[in-house]
Amino acid sequence: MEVIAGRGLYQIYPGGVLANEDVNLSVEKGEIHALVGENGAGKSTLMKMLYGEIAPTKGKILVKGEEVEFHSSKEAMEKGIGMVHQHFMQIPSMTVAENLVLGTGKSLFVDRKKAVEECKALSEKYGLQVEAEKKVSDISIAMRQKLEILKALYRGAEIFILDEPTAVLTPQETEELFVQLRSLREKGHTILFISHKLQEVKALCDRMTILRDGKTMGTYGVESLSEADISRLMVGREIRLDIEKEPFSPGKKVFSGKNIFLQGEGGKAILQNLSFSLSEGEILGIAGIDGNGQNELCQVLVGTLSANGAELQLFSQDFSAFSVQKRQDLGISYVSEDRFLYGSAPRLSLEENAISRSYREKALFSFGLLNSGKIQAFTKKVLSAFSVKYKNTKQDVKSLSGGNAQKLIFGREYEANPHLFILNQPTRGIDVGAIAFIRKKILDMRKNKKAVLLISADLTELLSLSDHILVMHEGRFVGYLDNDGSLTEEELGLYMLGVKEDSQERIGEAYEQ
Amino acid sequence: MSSKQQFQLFRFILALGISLGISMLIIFLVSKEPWTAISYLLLGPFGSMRHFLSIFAQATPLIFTGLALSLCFKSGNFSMITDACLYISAVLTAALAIRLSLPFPLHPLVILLLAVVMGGIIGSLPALAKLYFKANELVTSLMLNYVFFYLGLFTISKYFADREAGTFASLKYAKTAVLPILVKGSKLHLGFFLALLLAVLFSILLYKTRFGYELRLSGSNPSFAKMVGISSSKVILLTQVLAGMVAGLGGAVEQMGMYQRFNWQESPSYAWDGVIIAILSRNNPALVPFSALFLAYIRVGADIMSRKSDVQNELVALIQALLILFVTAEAFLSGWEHRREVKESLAAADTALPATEHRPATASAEPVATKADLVEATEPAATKAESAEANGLVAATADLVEASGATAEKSDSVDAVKTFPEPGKEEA
Repeated sequence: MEVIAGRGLYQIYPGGVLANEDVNLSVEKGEIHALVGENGAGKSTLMKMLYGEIAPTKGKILVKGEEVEFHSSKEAMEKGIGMVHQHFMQIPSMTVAENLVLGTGKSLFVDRKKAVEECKALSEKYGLQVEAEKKVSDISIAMRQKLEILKALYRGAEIFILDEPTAVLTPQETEELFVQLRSLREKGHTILFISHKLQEVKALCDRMTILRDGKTMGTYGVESLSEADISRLMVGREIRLDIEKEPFSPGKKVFSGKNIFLQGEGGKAILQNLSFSLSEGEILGIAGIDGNGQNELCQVLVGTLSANGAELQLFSQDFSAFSVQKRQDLGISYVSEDRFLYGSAPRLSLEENAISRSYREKALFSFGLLNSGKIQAFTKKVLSAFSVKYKNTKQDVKSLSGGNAQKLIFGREYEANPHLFILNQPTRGIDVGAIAFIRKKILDMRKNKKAVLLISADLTELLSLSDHILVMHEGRFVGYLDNDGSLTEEELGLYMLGVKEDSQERIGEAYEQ
Repeated sequence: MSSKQQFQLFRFILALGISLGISMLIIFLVSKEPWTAISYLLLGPFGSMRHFLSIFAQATPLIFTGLALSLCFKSGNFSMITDACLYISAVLTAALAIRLSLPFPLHPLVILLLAVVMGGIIGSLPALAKLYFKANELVTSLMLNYVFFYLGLFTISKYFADREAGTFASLKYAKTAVLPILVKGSKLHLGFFLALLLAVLFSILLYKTRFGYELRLSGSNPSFAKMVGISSSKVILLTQVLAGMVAGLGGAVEQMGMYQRFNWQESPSYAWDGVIIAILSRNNPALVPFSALFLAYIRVGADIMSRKSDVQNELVALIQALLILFVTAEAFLSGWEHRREVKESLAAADTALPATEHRPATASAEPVATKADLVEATEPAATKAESAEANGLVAATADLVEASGATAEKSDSVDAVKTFPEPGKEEA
């Protein structure tokens, strides 16, 4: 029996972004149905439509064969749909039980005792162990996720939508989650599982629907497709970027950083004694699970965070005390991890965003004033050099697709012709074409004898581009690896999880005198 | 003009039409002679040269405060210290106009200069409090406004009051301390052109200089501005000092152009009018004079209406409120705008996206793409087959446009969540 379905769904966001285009989905009762696709393929948009958070621009949603038109997620809940968001919808200062019942009762006050009892009973019934009386701020991420599932169950959900639930979990916790999800399936619940990790889909799901560029590429039994087939459907072609990289021939030393320490609030060490150097024509990759100090390291190098005592040099010139702009002038470019928060002003025009480095240069001025003709010419030069698709240079950056916005930002920093190019997640969440384009440009930098520091969560990217890889774990370097072709993602994974660690001597080799 | 600007202009005109329409409806409800009232409201300001010119005189202080607040809002600072800057500079002007004896062109010039300095100093206070004590500038400026208002009141009544005037008023200003009246018999003085000049200068500052760029970037996305290396302290301080200077100048100009004695027993509401002007102008200095003239026109009209008919001039407040409501309401007409975007993006998508193959079984037979393929394949020229398909879909777009009308309201709320708040509008 079909419990939930979408027929010909379209979603066009304000600004004209086409997030879903003629999307079709059909989920049977009692199955675990995967929804796979790259970042930006439109998975989350589809989920939001099914859960009533946004209304489709066009198309139909059917729940148990009946056409529905949700005006809020509350109405979706009433139809038995529950959602587990990637970012938990919980109040940290309240207890687990309070969060469970929050917003459901009719009376003005929460009966805490009853809430705890209900929480325990529900937790017992479904085998989802939580500590009912603990505050949410004191429990683990995995337990918060269980609470999120319990919340949906408490509200009578039969159809669960899980938005990348494993992204925040360790492998062991993931395994445990899978056991629980299978047991939910046995009890007759239906699960829609969003992921872009193929192994997980293979291990857990019955069928899957593949999304690409906002369109459905069909629904298949997981057994019927190989991982290669799935990835081809997801991205259109196999992304193989072990492209003809020229052999590594390092030149002069460009950058060296020594003893980089950084303390966070409450004295917690965020960066611990990091030392490394980069040569001309070298791409140094930094691997690590998000939030292990990579962003802070970038900020220390760029100059927006100051790490006392660190020794930072570019071509033997110490720039530790330099301002952000002085560092830029010295030859440092930076592409940040979040293009709309740190990389651009989304509500300003392409022109205004393109000149964020060059607005200080004489070339854009005439008679002491910024010249709009020159600004436009400069902007067009960047846009066309990086084949950004745009309507006119006065449009908002917000109205560009992620890939095009990223190409603009990357292009702006590239055009400054830096000696050291720091790239933090340069291809995160953008389309394949833009990824290929940017990766090619990164290799061009290498060919042109520039030094590139590449921070990426995409291990394929690190392995296909880097000459060496440093692995960060909890603010420290735990591995220094030569990327000689024999290095595997699994190997990197062990370092990233802190299972494996190189000797101090080996890590010290990342810093050359 | 870009389509976005066209849309904004259209929206503004519609907002104006609706607010005037509602106001007229109210006139019809309360007045015994609605047609007379309406004609005085709309045509009264053009009835005589004196009335017409008084629009310009009334607009003058509004331009000064409108510029000051536009600059603050554009930079993402919500300081209301403009009020105090204007008031204290006016007090200073009165003091100097009474006590200082200098020949004509020099006297007003010295006063203007000192008033500008005074405005700048007072304007810097909330900024400094923000930089050194992380005090919210909105709160400190509102509080400081009281401090300075009573300080000014005290100064006038203690040292400069005319004890024989019978009401609150200072001594008369010296004859040398006046701004020349431009048209005899009217109140149009040189200050208006000074205000226009400032609007031009501010436009240049904001859109043609490094500092202006830094100011706009900081106001639009402070996190990005930090990454660019812009010093937020510099922007905060300089912006508020500049705003204070303009407001100070406005206070002096108003006193020397319109008054012979200081009689502001209550703080004039020019700073708050400045907020209205800034909002109507979308914080763009070039539009400030137009907004100010419009507001002055409505006020002059309402004034004439209240004198010659049975409708009170409080009606102005109503028109203003309605206008601002519609101009600032992000969702107003955004459904209409969204439908246009839907149409455009569908048309673009149909021609730009390559036809996708639904052939998983045979797909594995494809050769592995090389680097060159990969790059080129991403921007394929639309083949004939695809464009034919595109034409079919364009027809389907029409239905889609209709369908989206029904959902426009819901998409608006999405917009609110998805997009970044624009400082100038949200908190102003």
